[in-house]
Formats: sequence, structure tokens, C-alpha cells
Amino acid sequence: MIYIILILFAMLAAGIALVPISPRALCRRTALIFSGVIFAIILHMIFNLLVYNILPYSESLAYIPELNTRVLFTVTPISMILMLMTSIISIAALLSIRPILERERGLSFLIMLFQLSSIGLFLSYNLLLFFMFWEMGIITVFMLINIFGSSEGNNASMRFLMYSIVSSSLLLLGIILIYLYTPAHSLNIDTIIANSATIPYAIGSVIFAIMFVAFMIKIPLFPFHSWVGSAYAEAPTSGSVVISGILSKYGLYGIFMLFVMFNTTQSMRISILIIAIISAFYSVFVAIKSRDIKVLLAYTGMVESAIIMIGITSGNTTGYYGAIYGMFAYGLSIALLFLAAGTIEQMYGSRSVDNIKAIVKNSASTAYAFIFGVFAATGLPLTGIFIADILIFTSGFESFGILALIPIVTIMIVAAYLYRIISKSVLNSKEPTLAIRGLESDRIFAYIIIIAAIIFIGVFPSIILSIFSAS
Amino acid sequence: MIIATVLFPMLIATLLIVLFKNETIVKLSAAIGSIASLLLSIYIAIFDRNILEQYKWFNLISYSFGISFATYLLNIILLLLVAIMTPIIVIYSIGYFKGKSYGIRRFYIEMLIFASAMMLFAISENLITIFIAWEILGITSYMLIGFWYDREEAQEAARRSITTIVIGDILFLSAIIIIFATFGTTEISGLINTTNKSLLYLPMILIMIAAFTKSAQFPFNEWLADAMEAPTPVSAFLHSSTMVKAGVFLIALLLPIYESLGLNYIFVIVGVITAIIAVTNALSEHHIKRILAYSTMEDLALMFIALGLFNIFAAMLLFIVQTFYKALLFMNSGVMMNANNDNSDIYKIHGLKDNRIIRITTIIGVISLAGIIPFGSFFAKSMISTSSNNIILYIMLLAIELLSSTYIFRWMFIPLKNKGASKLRYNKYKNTSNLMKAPIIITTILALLAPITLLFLGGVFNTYNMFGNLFAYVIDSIVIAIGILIAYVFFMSNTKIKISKNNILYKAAYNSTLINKFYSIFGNAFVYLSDFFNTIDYSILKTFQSSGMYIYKFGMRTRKIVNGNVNDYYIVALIGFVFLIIIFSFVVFGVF
Repeated sequence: MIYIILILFAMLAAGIALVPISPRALCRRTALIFSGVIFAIILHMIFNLLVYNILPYSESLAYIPELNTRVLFTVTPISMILMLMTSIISIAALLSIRPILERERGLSFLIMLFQLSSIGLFLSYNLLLFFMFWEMGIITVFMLINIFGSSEGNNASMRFLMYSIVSSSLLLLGIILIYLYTPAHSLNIDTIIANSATIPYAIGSVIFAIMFVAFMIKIPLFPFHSWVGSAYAEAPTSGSVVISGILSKYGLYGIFMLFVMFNTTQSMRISILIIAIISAFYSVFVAIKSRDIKVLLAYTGMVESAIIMIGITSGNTTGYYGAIYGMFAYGLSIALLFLAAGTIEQMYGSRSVDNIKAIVKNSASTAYAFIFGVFAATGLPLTGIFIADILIFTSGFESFGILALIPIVTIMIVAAYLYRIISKSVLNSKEPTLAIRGLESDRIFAYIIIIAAIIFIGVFPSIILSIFSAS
Repeated sequence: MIIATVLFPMLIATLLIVLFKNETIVKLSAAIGSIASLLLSIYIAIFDRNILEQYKWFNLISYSFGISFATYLLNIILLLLVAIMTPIIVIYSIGYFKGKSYGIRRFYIEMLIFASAMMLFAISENLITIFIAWEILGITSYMLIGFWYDREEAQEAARRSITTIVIGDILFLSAIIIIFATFGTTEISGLINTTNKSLLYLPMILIMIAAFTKSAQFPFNEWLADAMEAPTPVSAFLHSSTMVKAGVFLIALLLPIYESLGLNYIFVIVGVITAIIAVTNALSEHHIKRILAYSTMEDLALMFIALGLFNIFAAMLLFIVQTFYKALLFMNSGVMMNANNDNSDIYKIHGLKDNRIIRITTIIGVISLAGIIPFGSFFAKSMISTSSNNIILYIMLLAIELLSSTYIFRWMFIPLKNKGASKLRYNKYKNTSNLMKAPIIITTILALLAPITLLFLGGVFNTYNMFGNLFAYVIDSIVIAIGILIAYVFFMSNTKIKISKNNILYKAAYNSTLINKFYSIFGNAFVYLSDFFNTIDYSILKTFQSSGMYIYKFGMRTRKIVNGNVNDYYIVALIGFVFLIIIFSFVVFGVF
């Protein structure tokens, strides 16, 4: 039990090391095996928590004693759920790598590396370590979009990198300020939480603002979102799945940690709520006229992130748990939508909504997966997203009144344009477009894994929620 | 779980259909599953009345979400209606799909999930359970309207229906959230008995709008007519008998709250407007199923008017009777369309007078709809029109009754008048499979027997004095007879009556294009907003990019200092050295 975190990282490291050296036919399978093992370990941890109530445990190694920094990993219920989401989405992404047509070794390697950085980020309880894994995630995603992306990949990845560098610099500045101004001069999150009242208010709000802007660039929220359309669109299929599902949760997790570390006043929270509302409406209206299906879905992901923000800013415990539930559920649903959209791009060679028709005739599984993704994204009951919506908006209504229910209107508009795509492209079989490539049979397992996860957490929410209350 | 077992046979049948591809197994399991659910519902209706079951679904700190089922009278009425209609429609559809084996597994999966969701809706006592069923009804309706993948109009109609319904869904979700956050419970009995009713004002308005979107009332009424692109069993089941009445049912469950909040007049106003729209459009429509869709819209509007006038008895009576005669008329129209090569224009449907069974059942259905005494909707409509003391409302309702009998007899007279007797068509009628005829006959019998429920319900809802309103009965009968006369004169007899196309009434009858223009104004507004925001997006991107460009250009200009010319370097170094000495002397010696 004590060493389970080290075992987790050992498995990850083994996966990353073995992928480049295994023969070409086996590298994807190697990565899948190790991801499966990691998934099993995480399930084992959850099982231990639910049945034997073992928590929290942390792993602490000496690192830089002069800076009072240790390598500190702590498993909290929140990190367990986010790690579960990471491993499910990574398995689905690995399953969606096409064996002969793509450079599978590079893609498997990068996805395993990204999985390492995500799991490290969600487990780390030390701000310096958090920053290290954050940077690792950025570099991995940059490589994914640049090397393995489609034609405009260079531009898109450079834009992403520039925005992320600004975000990381601000984040580093915030971390340094926290280090300087906490009396204990420590970067461990638990000491910061314990000492948060001792930071003087003026500098505390400056630190909060700096780090908030840093995370705002990453989620993304308006107005720092311009990287998102091109980055998600030019990424390869497995890359899009992983980026949309997990990378946006980096920023949301960061804001979550920010709210945990600092005390916030109601006026601060209302202003953050207004930022979230503006961002949601903005992205919904930009998305209506998109002609590129992945850009459209990227803006839909922005709307979902804004809704999760409402849960975080509400400030009460239901809101926090609802936001984590929402990260899990919305992450899975947007990953499913990007998986289907990436498959459509691979089948037809184009991402344009106008030209593609009758997807259901060429690949019924992709069509129905996309339709299910749309059902999930609009909050169908018996999917996890419905539970997340209820928890988030109830807590938002408690804290802010009717103001928190205004973003729910954006779901109507999201539904309107997504159903328009379905009726014009996915199901409309009057003049079917010819597909240029078929699909291999592994793709359907990726769909099934994500759909099963979405339905499972929708029908049995008490399992996830009891993880929260066990702490 | 005793009540919820009504769903299990149909869900097991769905599972079997998913697993097996053999057509016979598919059809058999659908039929047996729906009949088994019928038997279970009858059992529950007789033996398990007035039970309330509450289950906890999940809880988080102080919030506890539950699912509850109940078998009170309203629930039993809807449960029995759905349970009776499902096997009838399933058997009809087995016959309907005889020539077309395209996607039959998909059809039955979606129909059975729909029927399960409808039964779940019928037995729910909790707003969350109702919402679960509500959304599943919406999505299965979407999949079934867009069932024929190669018809572009069907996909467009399905998209319009789901876009309208999602508006109601989201408003319903907001209402549930507000109710839950304020009261901590969403049990209907808890809401009715609460003391602080003023907090319920906003959620109840939101639920009212949600019911309007689902039941195709103004201004959300266009999707129902377009939804007739679906196959005929779908139209007979979803869009006449069950799904569209979900909104009415929801309002009926919550009626005591609306009563104490004083919001009932909205139902009457919206109902009257919708009824007028429906009636005028039905008079001018040529498509055989769209006329019936408008007639469904009119019936729903009458149910809302009845609920608005607090006459839940009349609303429920119309609810029950309408199920059967509407399904009957839709099934007959399916047979007529089949025999005429799927032609849906009533001016081109021939041969109604040849087939005796279809003719007789159609006549019975039409009589029930128009409400000739003592069939069908007569008692319900006269109760509705006498429910209020407002003379203007009474006259409007009488006018609606007149026009409704006109349009439905028009619907029947025009095909009756078309000549029949082509041998091919006669054979097609004769070869209508028994699987289509038997459900029609059963539904006819049910439609004839349905008004008898008046006697059963009367004792429970209120004591209705059947013979106290003879004057109203006489007036209604006269009005309906006038309607039939008008229809006969215009459409059945051989007199030619000319109405100029510029007649104002003629133009008013084609008013569905006005509402569509109203919708497209909204659509265009969204597109303009989207253009505007796209421009902003582009300018934000260009701002960030150009700031990068400025830095780059500044760097390019500054680079020119490094020009390789040693003389320039020497002079700059000398000047810099002099400055350094001056500054150094200021700092160290304080000389100026």
C-alpha cells in the first residue's frame, strides 16, 4: 500500500521506456498493456478506498532541502477520479492509433508521456513538482501537434506554445511569490493551506490574480482562447482525444487548487462567474458559424469548461465535488466527440461540415458514437453529464441565485448546432460522400470504453460520490 | 421495484433485439415483450393501486436525489393507455414493414425504448424521474422521426423537432434545479403540500413552457406537423397518442400548484391560440397525415384549455378518448398510403370506398373525433366548452368545434369522392395484411368503448351531472352538424363552389408559413450574432499576433546596430565609457 504510488510511476516509466525499443508491430500493444496495468492499479486504489477506507497516503522523497521542497505525492479522492479519467481517455486514444498509416511508435510514446505528466500533475502536492509536470504536458502536446498533426500543424503548435509559455511564466511568478510570502517558506500545498490566512491580503489577491490569469490561458477562457481552435483541429486523432479530455482539465484543476489554497470573497467569486458566463456565450456564438468540425467541438469544449468553472466558483462543497464530477464526465464526453470527429477526418480526408454526408453509411459505429456524444454533451439523463449538471447548477444557484442559471441557455444553442451537424452530415444519406479509407476494427473498442464509462457513472453516481465522502 | 417491473419485459425484448439479427426473433420479441408489459400493467392496475415507492439514487452531503414511482389514479390511466397502445402499434408495424426490411432492428429498438420511457413517465412521482423519462422520450422521438436516412426532409424535420424540444428540456432542468435548491425535494406530493408557494413561481412558469414545447403549443407548434415525415406507426404512437400528451400529463400532475399560483389563464390563452392555428391549417392542408397532426394539436390545445379552466375531468376524458381515435385514424391513413404507392396527398388517394373494413373504421374514427353524440369526444368537448362562464370563450370554443368537424369530414370526404376501382389498387387494399387490419379493428372497438370511462371516472374526480347540461348538448350537436354539412357541401356533393384565392379567410388558412418566418427571424439573429462574435474572435487573435509582430519588428530594427563596422563599435564604446565615468562619479563622489 505504501509503495503503490512508486509502483504506478514505475509502470509508467516502463511503458515509456519500452515503447521506443519494441518492434514496430508491438509498440502500440506495449503501450496499451502498460496503460491497462495503470488503469488496474487506479481501480485497485479506488477499491481500497471504498472498501477498506485507506486514505490519504502520500509518498515523500527528499529533493531540494534548501528550498524546503520535497517530492510529495498525495492521493486524494479528487486526484483519484482525475487519474481514472486520464487512464480511460489514454486507453481510448491508444486504441485509436492506426497501425500502418501513422507513425505509431511516436504517437504511443507521446501519449504515454502525456499520461505520465497528467498523473504526476494530479498526484503532486508540491507546487514545484506541479509546475514540472505542467511543463512536461505542454512540451508533449507541442510535439504531438507539431510532428504528428495535419497540414497546418506548425502554425497551430507554435501558437499553442507561445500562449502556454506566457501561462507558464505567470504560473512560475505566482509560485515564487507564494514561496516568498508564506511564513513557512514552503511549496507544499498542505502547508500553504494551513498558512493561507497569514498571507497579507494585498499580496494574496495579486498572487491569486496572476495565477488565475495563468490558468485562464490554459482552460481556455475568453479572451485568451485563440490557440484552441487551431490546436485542437490540427492535432492527430489520438492527440485530439487526449488534449481535449485532459489538457483543459489541467487549468481547471489548477483553479480548483487555487480556490482550495486561498480564501476568496463573494465579490471575487461573482466576477469569476461573470468571466465564465461571458466565455460560455462567446464560444457558443463563435461556434455556430464554424465550418470545421473540430474547431466547432473545440469551442464546445470551452463551453463545457465554463460550466465546470461555475461549479468551482460557487465556493461550497457541493460545487467542488460537482466540478470534479463534471471534469470527469465532460472530459469523457468531449473526448468521445473528438474521437468520432477525428475518425471522420481520417475516413474522408476533410473536416468540413458542408461536404461530408452520410457518415452512417460508411461507418455506423462512428455515427452512433457521435450521436451518443451529442446526447451526452446536452445532458441526457443516465449519462454522467446530467449528474454533473445538476450538482454544478444547484451549487451555483445556492451561491449566486438566478445568475448562475444563465449559462444553462448555452446548452440549448450547443444542442442546436450539434443536431444540425447530425441531421446534415451524419445521418443524411441522400447523396453519400465516398470515404477514402476504411477503419480498422480496434476503433470500436475505443468508442465502447468511453461510452461504457459515461453510462456507468451516469447510472451509478453513488460510487463516485462515495469516493468523495470517504475522505 | 414492484411498480417498475412493467418496464422489464420491454427492456429484455430490446436486449434480445440488440443481440440477435434474425428478423423473426426481432418481431416476435417485440410483440411478446409489449404484450407481457400490458399484462403486468393490468395486474398492477387491479391489485397494486395507490402505492408509492421511493428509492435513493445518490446523495452528496446535504443533497439527496431519489427516484420514486407511484400508482395513483392519473398514473394508472396513462400506464394503461400506453400499455394497451404499444402491442397494437407493434403488431401494426410488423404488417407495415412487410415490404420494407430496411433497418427493422433499429426501428424496434427505438420503439421499445420509447415505450419503456413512456411507461416510466407514467409511473413517476418525482420530478427527476419525470425528467429522465422526458429526455429519453425526446431523443427516441428524434431518432424515429429521422428514421428514413435517405430522406432529407425527414432529417430536417427531426432536427427541428429536437431543437424545439431541447429548449423545453433545458428550462425543465433549470426548474428542477431551482426547486431542488429551494426545497430540497422534488417529490410532487411534497411540492403540492408546501406552504411557501410563492417561491415556486419561476419554476412553474419554466415547467409550463417545457410542457408547451413538448405538446406543440404556440409558439412551439411547428415541429409536430413536420414530424409526419416519420413512418406511420411512429406517427400513430408518438405523435398522436402518447408522447405529445406528456406535457398535458405533467401539467395535470402539477395542477394544484398552478391553481394556487393563479397561472391558469395562460393555459387558456395559449390553448385557444393554438387551437385556432391548428384548425385553420387543417382546413387548407393536403397531406393526409399533416391534417391529422394539426388535429392532434387542436386536441392538445383543448386539453390545455380544460386544465386551465380547472376541469381535470374533461381533460382526462379527452386524453383517454383521443388516444384511440387518433391512433385509429393514423393507422387507416397508413393503409391508404400503402395502397396508393405512398402518395400522401388526399386529392390523390383513391379507393377508400372499395375496402369495407377500412371505410367503416375510418367513418367510426371520424365520427369519434368530430364528437357526434354519443361517440368519442362529444362529452369531453361539451364539458370543456361549458366549463367557463365567459361567453366569448364559449363562442370561440363552439367555432373551433364547428371547424374541427368540418376539417375532419373534409379529410374523409375527399378520398371517398375520388374514384376507386383500379384493379391494382383494389388488390393492394385486399392484400393489406391481417396484421394491419386486426389492430385497426381492435382500436375501433376501443374507440367506441372509450366514452364509457366517463362513468368510471365520474365517481372519482367529481360528481358530474350528466343530464344537467342538455341545453349544451343540443347546441354542440347542432354546431357539429353544421360543420358536417359545410364539409359535405364543399367537398362531397357535386356542387362547385368557388372561393377566390384572394379571400382573406383563404389566406388566413395557410398561416404556418408565418410562424416559420417567425422562427427564421430567430435563426437569422443567431447567425448575425455569430458573425459579430467571429469578427471579435479574429480581431483578438490578430491583436495577439500583431503584438508579437511588433516585438519582432522592434528586434529587427535594433539588430541593425550590429552592422559589422568596427568604427561604429569603437565610437559607441567610447561614448558609453564616458557616460559610465560620469555616472560612476555621481554615484561615488556625489559631484555635479
